[in-house]
Amino acid sequence: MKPLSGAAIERLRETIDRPHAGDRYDVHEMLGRGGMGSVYRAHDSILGRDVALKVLSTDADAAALASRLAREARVLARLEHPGIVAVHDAGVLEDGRPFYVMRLAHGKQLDAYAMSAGRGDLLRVFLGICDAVAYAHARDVIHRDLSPANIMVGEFGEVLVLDWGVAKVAGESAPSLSQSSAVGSVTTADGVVIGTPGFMAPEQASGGAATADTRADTYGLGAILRHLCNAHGADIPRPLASIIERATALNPAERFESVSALADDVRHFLDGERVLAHREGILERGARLYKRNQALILLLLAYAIMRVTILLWRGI
Amino acid sequence: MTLALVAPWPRGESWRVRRFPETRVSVVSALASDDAATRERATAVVIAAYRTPVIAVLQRRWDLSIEDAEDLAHDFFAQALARDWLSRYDSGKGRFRTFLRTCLLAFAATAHESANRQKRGGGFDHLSIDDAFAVAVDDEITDTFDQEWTRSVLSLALDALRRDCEEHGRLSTWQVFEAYDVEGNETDNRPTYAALSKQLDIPATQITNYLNWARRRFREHVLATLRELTASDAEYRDEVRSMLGVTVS
Repeated sequence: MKPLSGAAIERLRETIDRPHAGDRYDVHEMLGRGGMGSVYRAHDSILGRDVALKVLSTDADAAALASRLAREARVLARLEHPGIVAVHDAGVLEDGRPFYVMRLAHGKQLDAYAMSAGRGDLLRVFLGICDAVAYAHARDVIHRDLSPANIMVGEFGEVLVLDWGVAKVAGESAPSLSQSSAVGSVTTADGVVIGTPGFMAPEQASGGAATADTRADTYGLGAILRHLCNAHGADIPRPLASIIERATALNPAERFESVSALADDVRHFLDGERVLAHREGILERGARLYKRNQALILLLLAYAIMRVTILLWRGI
Repeated sequence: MTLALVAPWPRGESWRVRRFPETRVSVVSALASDDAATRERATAVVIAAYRTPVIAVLQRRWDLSIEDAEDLAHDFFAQALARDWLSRYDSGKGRFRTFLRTCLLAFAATAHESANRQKRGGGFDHLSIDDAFAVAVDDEITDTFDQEWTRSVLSLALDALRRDCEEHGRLSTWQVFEAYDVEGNETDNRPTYAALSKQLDIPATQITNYLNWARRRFREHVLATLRELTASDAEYRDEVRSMLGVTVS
């Protein structure tokens, strides 16, 4: 046999890593690789559809990672929402690696989407993220690692919140981990610091991940909103800046009381209504009211001018 | 829902990843055997795995021709066997791969210096390998050695898979794997399942099964080769992770 080329070596390495998930799933190319596992496109021969198969792919502490992958599958299984990827199946491969099968999501990572979308579209996508996270909170699940890397936007602006591997479920003990969840995430062996720098709530960064509540996700969403608003380099409107400021307040008690409240305030901004997080001045209020009711004001103004003109003409 | 080949999802957090079967013993450990024949057999396995990386490093580091590099590699392994160098590997100090590479560089540097000295009327020095792990090594040389070692391990595993297929009367399986996963990768022009089916006179529906079987066995042979070429569980896991990026426990 002739010596293997560099390309052949890389493909053979992929071949070794590629999971063999029984007769049901025909595993194809790798779609992505994270700190915990790799995701492959696979074909479900029974239901005749393409799916995504996530399998453990790194070592370090295989048992802890395996437990985390299993936990992620269980968390996802209890969340049925269009913004959260659905789990179809789970199991253990012949070689001992755990896996789970989920809906194959098509789309772009939030960062890539933000490069080509306008502010209005970005804010509507942000509201989609809030909806998914608020739904999870209603089912006692806190994501704890919200960041642009964990959000995908589909062709029609639909949102998927991914990577629930470090999610906390009320009433369950928080996962004790020693690996990073996504690129840039930081965790400790005690499971104390969990999240992505820049998007992680201060109470998580200072070692309180186990006791962090839904307001930690509110902080993450606020940081994502700031990231989206900065995507185009333009100045952030003051009401929006106030929303970000309140969502990312260092003291959790000063943040929005819920993700729904945060989303409502963003909707207020989009609809030209008063943003509750923002204390607006008289001029600012006038400008907002004018912008919101521009047609009506111009109509009334035109009517007034016409009346004055008629009166003046009759007076002459 | 999941079919028979896949085990049921484990309950509870206490579940652990299963250990891969240890099908071969460590030849690195056998290098220190009291039995001379065992040591010699183990050295032969080490030479088979490391010959190509050793030659590549000698060529790269001292700009030798392939013939000169092969001769020097032969001298290196002959000296290693005669002087029992490899049995002095201490797994507590690092990987066997690192130890061997450093021994090689020390040997080659000494041989190079001796060659120059002989030109000036001097003789051959004894090689000291006591501080083998402490020798600083150029990154480029390290990369060359590691890449060639990966190539060597994969080639050994491919040979083992081919023999495996022959012994189990699965020549067609080997042919499918070779055409699709080995030669197809070389040319970046993989044959289609239909073309393979026609070429090898196999039902197209069987191609996936053949590939799955061969890939699974190939993976097992790679892991078994790594198990053979490492001295401890920790070194084995370390090598698997660094070379393949796959999980073992």
